[in-house]
Amino acid sequence: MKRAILLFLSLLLLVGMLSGCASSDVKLNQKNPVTVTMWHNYGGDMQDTMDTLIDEFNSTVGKEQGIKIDVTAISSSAELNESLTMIANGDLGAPDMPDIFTGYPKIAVQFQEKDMLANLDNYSTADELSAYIDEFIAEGRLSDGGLYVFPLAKSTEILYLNQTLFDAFAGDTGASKDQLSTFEGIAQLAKQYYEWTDAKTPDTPNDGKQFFSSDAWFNVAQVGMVQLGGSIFDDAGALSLDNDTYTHIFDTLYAAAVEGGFAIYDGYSSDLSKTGDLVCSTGSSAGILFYGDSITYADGTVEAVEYSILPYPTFEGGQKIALQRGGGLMVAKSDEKTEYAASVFIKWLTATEQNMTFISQTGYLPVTKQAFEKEMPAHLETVEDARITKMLTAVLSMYDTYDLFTAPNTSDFDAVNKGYEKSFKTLMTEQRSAYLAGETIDAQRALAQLK
Amino acid sequence: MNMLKQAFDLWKSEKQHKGTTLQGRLILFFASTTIFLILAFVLLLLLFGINGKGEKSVRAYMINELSHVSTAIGDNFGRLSLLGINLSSSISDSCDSYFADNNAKPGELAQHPELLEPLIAAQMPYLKSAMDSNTCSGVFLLLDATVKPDAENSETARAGFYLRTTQPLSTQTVGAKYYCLRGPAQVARDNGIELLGQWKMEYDITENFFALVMDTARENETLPLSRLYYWTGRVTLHGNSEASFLLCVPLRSSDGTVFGVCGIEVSDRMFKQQYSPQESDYKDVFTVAAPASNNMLQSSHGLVAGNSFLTGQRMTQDLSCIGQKNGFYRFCGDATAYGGLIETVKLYPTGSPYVGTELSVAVLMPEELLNAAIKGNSTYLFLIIMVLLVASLTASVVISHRYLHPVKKALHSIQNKEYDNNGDIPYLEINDLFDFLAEKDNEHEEEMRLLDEQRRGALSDAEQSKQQAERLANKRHEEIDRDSYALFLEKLKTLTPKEREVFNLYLDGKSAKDIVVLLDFSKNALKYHNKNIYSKLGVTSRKELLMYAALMKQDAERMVKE
Repeated sequence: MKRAILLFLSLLLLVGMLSGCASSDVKLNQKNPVTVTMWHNYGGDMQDTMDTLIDEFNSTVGKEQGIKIDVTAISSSAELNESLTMIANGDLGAPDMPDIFTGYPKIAVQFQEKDMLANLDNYSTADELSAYIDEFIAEGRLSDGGLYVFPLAKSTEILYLNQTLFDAFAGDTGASKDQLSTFEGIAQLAKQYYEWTDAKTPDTPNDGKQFFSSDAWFNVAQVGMVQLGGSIFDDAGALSLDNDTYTHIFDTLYAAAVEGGFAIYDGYSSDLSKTGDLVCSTGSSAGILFYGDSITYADGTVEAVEYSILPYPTFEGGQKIALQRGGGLMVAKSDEKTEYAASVFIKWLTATEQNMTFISQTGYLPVTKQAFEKEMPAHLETVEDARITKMLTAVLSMYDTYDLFTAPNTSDFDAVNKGYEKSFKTLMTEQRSAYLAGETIDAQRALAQLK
Repeated sequence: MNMLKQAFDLWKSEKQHKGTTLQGRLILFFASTTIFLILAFVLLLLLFGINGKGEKSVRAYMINELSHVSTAIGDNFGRLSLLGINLSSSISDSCDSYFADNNAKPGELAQHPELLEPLIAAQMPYLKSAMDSNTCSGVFLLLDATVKPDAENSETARAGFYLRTTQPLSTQTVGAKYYCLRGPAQVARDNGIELLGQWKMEYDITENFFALVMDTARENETLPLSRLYYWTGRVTLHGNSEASFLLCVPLRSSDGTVFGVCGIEVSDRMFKQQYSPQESDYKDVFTVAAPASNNMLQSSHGLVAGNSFLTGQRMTQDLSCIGQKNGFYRFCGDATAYGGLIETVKLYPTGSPYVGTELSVAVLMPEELLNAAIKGNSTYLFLIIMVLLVASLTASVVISHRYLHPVKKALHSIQNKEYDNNGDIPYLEINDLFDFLAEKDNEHEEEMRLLDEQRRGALSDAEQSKQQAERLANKRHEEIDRDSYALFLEKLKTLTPKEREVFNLYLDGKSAKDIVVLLDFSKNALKYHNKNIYSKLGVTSRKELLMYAALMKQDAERMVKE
């Protein structure tokens, strides 16, 4: 009798274990679909592409399986990060957590530490994951080894160059495009450009134009340190600026920023580019759609321009290394049905066909091996937007010659990133003001202030 | 046809003649009872309104949703209209001050492009304040002037500022930012506003609604702003990626000059968030808010909410109202038909020049789904009744067969006179009948046995009489002279047919009385014939005649035997 009871209990346990493992056995009701809320940062020109894909999912796979994706917020990465951080910290007035959201691993870390994210390994087989580029999957794995950030689209950082403005500048000054391959060269050109533009209005001193900006000065420092063989973090994971390598980076940027050649701006560099207030900038390759084919000057004059996409600059003597960017999709910990429904959607969205549609209209890079390695070259010829073709061509070329660096996934990474960015911009703005006011400024003192 | 009729008549007469089968009658009885009960059940359902529940439910849902959505749209659009009017008043007053400070006249704004950027910058607090109300997705200001009056596109270029938010209705997000879709970049930067990817410095007024609003305001100088606001249909600003409804309110200076338009945006996404029908069992229900005229719901100029399978982008066709069915309006687009309810929302007050161009709000769903929802329970009910009917009829046949099988078996046994059923038949009455019939059968057999014995005795007596008669005949044969007999036979030929007939009857053993009856003679006539027969045959008496006759019969039987 005892043996029979033991056998029965063992069977129950086995059935329970099997049912726990088989997430694909989750049954959704077609007549009563699960609504999955989503936040994403693909706004502007990319919104239509994302909307169309979501509509397609809802009307096909979603309709068949009983899944409805409901986008409740489309905003910039920065805005989403703010809201998500509030949610993660449990702040008063924080919005409800969406079921799916886009973001970087640095955000995922905050949620995962509080056990608020679904481990997507539970909803994906090894065979399914093997279709994705291994490094992209690895990026989404956090400290416990679980997959919390599913790759959607990737980007790297590149140098956007307003070729029209540069050609005019180079025609007059003999500036060489080769100088754009290093930050030191860019700093020299920035100084030259400022003087060149300042000289155009001799009656108005110090009204030269800025030449270069970066969407993320922290990335310039972070990647620059890696290019030069160091790291911006010490062994304990703290920010490490007290070394010769960073001093060189700081000195290079400082002079150009204080003298007005570099723009220290809170928004995206593309804003300044639109009004002809910038010649070149580093930023995400996915920002290509924010660069149009014309610039509008303050007096309303519109000038047709052409942009070139150049590889990410290096610091002199450094290795060709660029930042691997592009977040992914995270799924909030929820009931099994919602988690499963979310996983169905993200796997559909990142499948090769949908991924190629997305990248060909947004400028991101695909995440599946088939899309990246086999379909991309042929697909380039069919992309309608010439800006995207130009960018993808340049980025593919960069992938051949550059090593890509992925930012660490530590819990305080986001705070360190934001802190550095704010301090650096504040310092440079103050130094620029002091410089314009005729005060004595010094790079070493400024660096000490930053530290 | 005639053949069928004949066959039917034949069957009927046969039926009348033979009657119906037991099983047929029993099935008919059961089936009649079942059908009666089911009809009574259906009648009860109809009486208590259970049938048609689907239609009532979907109608109640639609009415409720339409009421909820149209009320919300009416209220919110009313509040936004008021917000727009206040915005216009504030900006108009602010601009008046600016014009006064700069010794400019509102009507000459187009000739002073240098005033535009500072004028726009001065209005930013009002625009941002309107955005802070969190009730709209954007606010805008458009001045009837361009910064480049000598440019080629000066006819369609207009200065202004368009402020948008990516998170309308959000009251929770601290990181919410405003973005600039149109306007001087420097003004945006000075206010910490980022430029959208689709940013342009000036408007391209290829859409004529701005001109319409300004022209209407100029034509109606005496009307207050509260009568001059205008809601556009669904529009997508040149170069923008999202469609929206725009509330346009004219900007009018204190001297009555209309110098621009300001207003409020309700984006496609915001509309979806606010006015989607409630989640329910009904699929693909959606709200359309659009202008309507001449039985056409101009959904291509409207916004859509709900039904995640149908987006504003896809609703590019107008819907024609093609009548009513089951109390729901039917709308037909190019490819799909929809059904639902519609109501008009009043957007403008009495005295507005736009009265008559109201907004229609409809709650619709694909017609096939609506029809399915209406049928809903009725279909199931009908199916259940049909299943019940078939099951009952089948049960009637099976039960009748099972009930009558022993009876038929018993009848068969009775036909075969087999009354010993070995307990196979479960009916007491039939078993009693069998006992009764078995007893009767025994009695009958006893009677038959007795009768048989009597018959055997009679046969034995008859045989003895026959042998005695034969012995007597042989004796007579021996007694009668052969020549006289031969002569007698020869003389038979002389008899007339009637006499021969009489003779034959004597030969068959008939008496004179029998012959008189058989041949319908009188006794005298028989006597007459007898006399002639005697004379012709040469006999003297009837006894002699019968003797010859017996002889003839004996010969005939002998001949037959031989």
